[in-house]
Amino acid sequence: MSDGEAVIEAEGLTKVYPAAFRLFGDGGREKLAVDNVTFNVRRGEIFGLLGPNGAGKTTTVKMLSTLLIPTSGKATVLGLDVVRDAGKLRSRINLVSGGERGLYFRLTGRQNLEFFSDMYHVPREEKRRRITNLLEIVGLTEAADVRVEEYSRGMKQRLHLARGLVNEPEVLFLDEPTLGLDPEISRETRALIRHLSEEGVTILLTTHYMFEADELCDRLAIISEGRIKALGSPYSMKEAVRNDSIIEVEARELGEAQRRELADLPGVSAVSVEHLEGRQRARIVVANAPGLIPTVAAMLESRRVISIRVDQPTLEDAYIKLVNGR
Amino acid sequence: MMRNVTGIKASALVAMRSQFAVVGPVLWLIQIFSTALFQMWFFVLVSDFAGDPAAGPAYVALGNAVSSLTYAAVYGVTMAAGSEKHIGTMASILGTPTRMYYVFLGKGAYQSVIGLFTVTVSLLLSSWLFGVDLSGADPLTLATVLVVTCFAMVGFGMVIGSVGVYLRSSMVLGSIVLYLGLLLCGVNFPIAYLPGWLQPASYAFPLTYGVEAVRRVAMGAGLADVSHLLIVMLAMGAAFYVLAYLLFEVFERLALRRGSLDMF
Amino acid sequence: MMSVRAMKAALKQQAIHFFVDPQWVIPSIIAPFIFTTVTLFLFRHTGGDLMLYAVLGGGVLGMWGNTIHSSSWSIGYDRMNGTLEAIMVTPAPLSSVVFGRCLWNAFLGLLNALAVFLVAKFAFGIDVTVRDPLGFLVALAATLLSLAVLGMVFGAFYVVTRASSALFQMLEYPIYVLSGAMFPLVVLPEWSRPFSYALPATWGAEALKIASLPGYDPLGLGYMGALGLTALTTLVFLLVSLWLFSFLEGRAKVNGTLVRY
Repeated sequence: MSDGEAVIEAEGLTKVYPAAFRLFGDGGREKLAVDNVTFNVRRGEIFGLLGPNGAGKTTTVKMLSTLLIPTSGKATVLGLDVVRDAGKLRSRINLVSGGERGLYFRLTGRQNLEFFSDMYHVPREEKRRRITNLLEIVGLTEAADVRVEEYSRGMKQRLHLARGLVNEPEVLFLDEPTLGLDPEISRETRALIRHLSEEGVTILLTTHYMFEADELCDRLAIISEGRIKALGSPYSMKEAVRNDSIIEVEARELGEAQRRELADLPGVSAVSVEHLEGRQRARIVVANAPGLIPTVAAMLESRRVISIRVDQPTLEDAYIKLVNGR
Repeated sequence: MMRNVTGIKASALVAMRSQFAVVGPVLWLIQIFSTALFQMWFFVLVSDFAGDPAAGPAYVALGNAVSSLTYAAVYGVTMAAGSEKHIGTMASILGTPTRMYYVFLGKGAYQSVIGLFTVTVSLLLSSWLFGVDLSGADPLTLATVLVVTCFAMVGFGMVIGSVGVYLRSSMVLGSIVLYLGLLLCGVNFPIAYLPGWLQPASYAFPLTYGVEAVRRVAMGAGLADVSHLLIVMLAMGAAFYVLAYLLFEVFERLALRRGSLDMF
Repeated sequence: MMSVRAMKAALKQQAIHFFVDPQWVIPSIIAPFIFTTVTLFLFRHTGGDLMLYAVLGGGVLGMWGNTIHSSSWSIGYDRMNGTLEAIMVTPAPLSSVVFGRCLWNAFLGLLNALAVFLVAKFAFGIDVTVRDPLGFLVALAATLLSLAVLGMVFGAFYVVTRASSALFQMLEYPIYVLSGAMFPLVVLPEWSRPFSYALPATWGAEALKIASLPGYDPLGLGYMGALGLTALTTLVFLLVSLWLFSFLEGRAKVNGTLVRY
């Protein structure tokens, strides 16, 4: 499907949030959230926007789903301009945001879906059939007439997805669809997303989970500080670190100071430090790992090192390198 | 955390009136003054149109001016509990060694200041705009009466507010109490107008004695002349604070057992 | 521009919300209820038509009270709930959703009229018969509609800021005063009358009284005149609210203030 037609086209998309107006107190200053972003998504693809919090992923999705007007640049979805043709576009797309918010908690699952179907003018007979079907797909048939406030997180998330499908959208935007879900529910959600993709829905999703992007996306864009740092398939992303290797160090007293020192070593292109219980794990992306090990060992001598080993680069390393590295 | 989120969701149904206790002090004061002024004006116009000599515009204006205390002293205090639940901070307070009662006593003190300020301004407005004659009133006596009334009303507010530790319905209760005073406490017409079975209820509200005392002071009564009213209010107030303390204890325990602290 | 389907769905949604936990209507209608009851006590001195006058006025106050407390908050609810975006992303106009809810809220305000009616009938023994029942019902429907539209005007501001409803709720009493629901407009000072005339609630209350009270028509409008003015002012506010929605939605989409609560 790599040569399908483009259904989402963003060109030089930029968003600057104006300084807020407040009656009392300071509204702050303007903020550049998305900076000249260009990419396209092909029909039937799962496309990921991957980046840390505050990178501009959500802002991008909102502009594409007609909820936010770009400051400059242009975007079309299904050939329709997201600003000019917003009204026409809305009936053909949908947006699902992660987290628990976004449902009417005093209504039942079915009532929620009915309400949103009405918003889309889904014909009445069709509405009933479609809702039954959607409840079945997301596994909420039995809980359909229970109020959402009684739902577990996973159930809410599945209802969210069902809500996003009431208008049978051709393009579905998923903003952090597995945010705050436990691993098992996340897995279910991802399976559901794949299922939708197989049904032919074009999906643009944002995430800050590497493995999620790796597992789901046909292509992805790594976005940081409002800019696209890299764009391509997860495989091609890994290419960025193909010639690198990794030194993985576990120690008990690794901090930001050491991270910076390590990053300044010759041949090192990125260092990430992950904090585990009682210890830290640093991954050093470097051209020649075995050669650098003695230097690293000497440098960290006093930091209560537990282990040092050489590892293969993962998408995560590529991501760290692309976002933070040189 | 989970519970807080649920709480915020459910509270969306709360009529926005109850959100006022949550807004900042500037908006709170603007709200109180606009309410006090228009409420007074409304009843003055009704009274003017009705032409009842026993409840003329000046009578009504004075009553409403005194009842403006209710907004901060009773309603503000009652809502404090509900809004703690609303924001989800109640559990964190309960986790500290401080008893909830003292937290609310602090809130009561804050609302007392606002209440006394409100009632002073309202009395001045009633005299400038609606012909209430305060020239015969001794300022010191008037101040004493207002402080004592406020003391008793905050106690009353705390009793109602204690329910909020357990049930969010305290917010509904608070809004009922806020207006009931206008009907029952001799604010807009003499208590004798009420049907006999309803009159005893009037005497459970401290506002009833407060309004009566202010009316007398306005007519030139001294401290000695209203001392019996003051004693009643002081006694009632003291009883309210004790009762509130006990209720806070009981409801805290109930809430802990049922896990309804932040359940809205 | 408007979607009847979305309105109906929103009305139904609001009704379900009410029935799940009905106690929350009390804070919105307690003020008009007590205000009306106090008025009944004061009017008892004069008696006669004045009592029915107060009952009618009370109904209007109730609809107004619930409109201002619930409708100005309508979008705030979605904002708090995180559902505002889910609605905005649909093709249904937000104004239709809000209108459907406002309609329910105004209707629910009639609960106050019912409560007042019961108090009037049983506590005060007032003979509540209206002169022209059909005219009364039409006027009631028109008033309800006009208040729903007014609720929409206030609701629109919530798209931009959550402080708006705090400000609008301060209009509750001013409008109790200005609508002249409880006393003739002539009691009000000269300077405030233009405000009264601009309010559909004023004319709705007037039409209700003309239909109910024999010989009542201090402004010489006639029933049709009062009804016409209700319709006219309602239409003006409808246009204002639609314009506000499109303007404020546009602003929110530039400022990104849709979700922030």
